Amino acid sequence: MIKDKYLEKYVGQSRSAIMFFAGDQLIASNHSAEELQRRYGLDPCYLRQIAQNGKSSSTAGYQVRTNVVTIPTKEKESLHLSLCYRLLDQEEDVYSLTIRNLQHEEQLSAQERQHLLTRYVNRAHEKERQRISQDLHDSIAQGVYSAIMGVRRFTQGDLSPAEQQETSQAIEIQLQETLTEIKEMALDIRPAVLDSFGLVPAIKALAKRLQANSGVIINVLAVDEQAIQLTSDEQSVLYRVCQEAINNALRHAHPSEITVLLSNHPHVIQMQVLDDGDGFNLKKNAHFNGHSLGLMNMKERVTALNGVFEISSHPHEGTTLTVKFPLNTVR
Amino acid sequence: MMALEQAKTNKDYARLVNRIYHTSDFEFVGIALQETYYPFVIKWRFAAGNQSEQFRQIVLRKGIGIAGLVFRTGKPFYDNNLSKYSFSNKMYTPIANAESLWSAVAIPVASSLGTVNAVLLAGYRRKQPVSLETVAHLGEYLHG
Repeated sequence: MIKDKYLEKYVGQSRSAIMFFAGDQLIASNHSAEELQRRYGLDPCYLRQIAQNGKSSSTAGYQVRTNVVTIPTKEKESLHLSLCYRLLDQEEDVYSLTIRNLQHEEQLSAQERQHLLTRYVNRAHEKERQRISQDLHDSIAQGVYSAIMGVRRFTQGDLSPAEQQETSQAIEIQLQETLTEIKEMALDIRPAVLDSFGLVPAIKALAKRLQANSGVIINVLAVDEQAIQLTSDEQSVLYRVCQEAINNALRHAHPSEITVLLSNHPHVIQMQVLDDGDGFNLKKNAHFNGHSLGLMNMKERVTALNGVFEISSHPHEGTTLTVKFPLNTVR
Repeated sequence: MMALEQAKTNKDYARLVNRIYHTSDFEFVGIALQETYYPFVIKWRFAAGNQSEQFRQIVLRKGIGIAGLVFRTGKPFYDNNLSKYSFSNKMYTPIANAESLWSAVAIPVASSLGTVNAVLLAGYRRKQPVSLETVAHLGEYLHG
């Protein structure tokens, strides 16, 4: 029958993986499903169980759609899947399992996108805390401990005046360094300069510090602070986007120079972060790796304040990130 | 290790850096010093073979990068293929980035009490691997 033929073709060519089960047995699957099994070595029964676990929590037994399920693979990346279990024939216990690989962004619903983003943000927060905790432990605690050891040496040791002099200086240096680290950490968490002096000085201070830490030239070209009339929310977002953009460039792009441009136009304030690094293929990286979730999160924060977020990049031609906020709009 | 008395003036450091650069095949030689006043910043003060003045902007952090590790531990460090480290990595070495170094060795220049207040670093831009032997070779300049 012609209807069956096209139905079969449709199922066969679908980008979603579709599997049919009778009881515990896999009785049929389409090309995408085979691909999924072959490439990631996923056991169909395992997927079935995940979907059925979702079923028990639902009242309507005929169709169950799970939230995003993350499955680690042998390669470093994880697989983000959405599973849909559908009972086709109750008497013969035949059901279908439709699996969408959320790596393909175009297959995402708005809600799933939000789920992924929320998860990413939570993970980023947790990572940040982990880093702060580790810094406290490695730098601050270590520094104080070294100073204590220095004091002990000073009081217990039989030191010559010259040695006393040197030990006391070593202790002082140790404490001063620890103080510097504490200040740096405070700066990392929230720059006081942003609140007291505004966006331009904050970005300049950030650029100077990251330049000193990385050995990469970071230029800031900005209009007068007075010309930039932004709400504090917009300032915070611009600062964070700038911080993340520079960090991204330093981490991934091997740039020799990064430039931050802050300009005002008749109706728009524009910030651009340009680097001359490796660049990347935007289309190829549109699926959900950590990098693009970072970009998505930046975009989300900008658009939430009626801003525009653009990124352009090509392999070997660097990356340009642009954020615009409208001026004089009703806020 | 070189006692402070042996090379306490800046002139000596400058001379040392130049001598190493001219009598070895290292493509970059530099010395980082910790300031003796607040906030005790550590910077690259003397260099030979540098491709730009960018190295002067770098502020070293103890425990980070090859030279930073030498400052913290007082032990020599060396590594190859330095561009493999991302900025968030503890082994990311800013001077390698600013000077396009592929490999580098760094050794402590210690004061009499054993605290490190200077680090000598030498490296290559070409793919010339360094090893403990390179460390020993660089060390000879401090003793000689």
